[in-house]
Amino acid sequence: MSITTENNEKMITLMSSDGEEFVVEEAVAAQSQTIKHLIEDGCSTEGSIPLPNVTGRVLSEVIQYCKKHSSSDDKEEKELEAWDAEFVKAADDHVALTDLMMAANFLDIKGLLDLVAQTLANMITGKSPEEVRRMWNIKNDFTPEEAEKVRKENQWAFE
Amino acid sequence: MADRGNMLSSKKKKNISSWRSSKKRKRKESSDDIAAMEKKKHNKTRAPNNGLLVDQAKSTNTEQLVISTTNVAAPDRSYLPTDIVEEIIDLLPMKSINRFRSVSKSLFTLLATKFNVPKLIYYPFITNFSPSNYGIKSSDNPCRFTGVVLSDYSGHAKNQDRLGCINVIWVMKEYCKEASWVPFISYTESHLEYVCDFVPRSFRDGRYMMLQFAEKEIHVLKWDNNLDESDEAEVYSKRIEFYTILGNTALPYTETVFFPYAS
Repeated sequence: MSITTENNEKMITLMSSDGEEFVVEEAVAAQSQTIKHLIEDGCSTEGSIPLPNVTGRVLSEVIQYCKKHSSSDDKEEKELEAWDAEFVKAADDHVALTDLMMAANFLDIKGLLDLVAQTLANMITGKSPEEVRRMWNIKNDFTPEEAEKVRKENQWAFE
Repeated sequence: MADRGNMLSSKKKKNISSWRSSKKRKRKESSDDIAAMEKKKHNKTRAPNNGLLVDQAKSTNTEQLVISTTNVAAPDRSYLPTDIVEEIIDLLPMKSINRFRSVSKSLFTLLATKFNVPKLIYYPFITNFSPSNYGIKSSDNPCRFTGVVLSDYSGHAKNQDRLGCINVIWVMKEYCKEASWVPFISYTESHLEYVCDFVPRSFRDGRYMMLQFAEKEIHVLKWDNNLDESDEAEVYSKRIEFYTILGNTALPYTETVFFPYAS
């Protein structure tokens, strides 16, 4: 579905996995390489572009990011950095950030991917293995002997 | 240790694929507060969309990763795709990486394939080579090198005075594990060959040697005409956009000397 606004900006409709539709300017949507390629291939001319891997909640956040980054130019770099910092802060926990990162990966938005990856990396740098397991429900599948061996080999990293 | 290394590499593929496919994409009922939090965010982010946002209640046939607005995902992220995990761990300091080896087997394997590769290889001062070979190890960041020694193939260092005479670079395959020293690259004046199977690409050109370990990671070693004690070797790492000079009086990132083949 292609709508044109008063100022002749082409609009694109994106549909999230849970059926929510978002109408955004093409320039905003094209921040995503994945969507850009879909548009180039003519996938946007009929109906909306379905994004089966992205929920409405995450997609609205992604669109927020893309809007900001498509409207800012280089001069505003400082301001943009501050905005980015606020943006990831608002995502507020590692679950939301992980969702965001998976969406950024699927949609191929490099800036967002890097931003969220850095945020998550900062978050876990000082964490213990157990804390990391808890964050992502990762099962510890080492036997106690194996665990001890791995730990011993990397002892210095625990000190 | 050599056995262990082989075991690792043969297991690599299997474990990585199981990392990818391991957990079914499970979704759990969320707690109320997460739902509330989500709602709040929703309202906040929707506002600027004004009339352009068309909300539809109908569901689509997206059987894979459906998270409905009332059914928020529980933090089950054990199926995290490998490329996502790699994006994050690429940004971590070596110390965190080594600590996280004990998180799970799949993560152990992933980290082993990525970070047991030596990150920087050089020992610039060969005039003082002693019968026991030297290796150097970096501090935690930013170089992450594991260790290196130059010697002849037999592992006996000669009292060489020209780099051209050196024909094998030894590395520690595992960080800080003296038992894991292996021959890494063997080269002569005319050609260079890998002794190990874990070097994707590398070449030597004149007095430069470039070592590429991964797409993003290139180290260039450079040395001057006659390597004597006053010479310096320059090391450039593309990955970290970092350039430094290692000299015999200034080895800023060296903290430990290893003796892999103590007599």
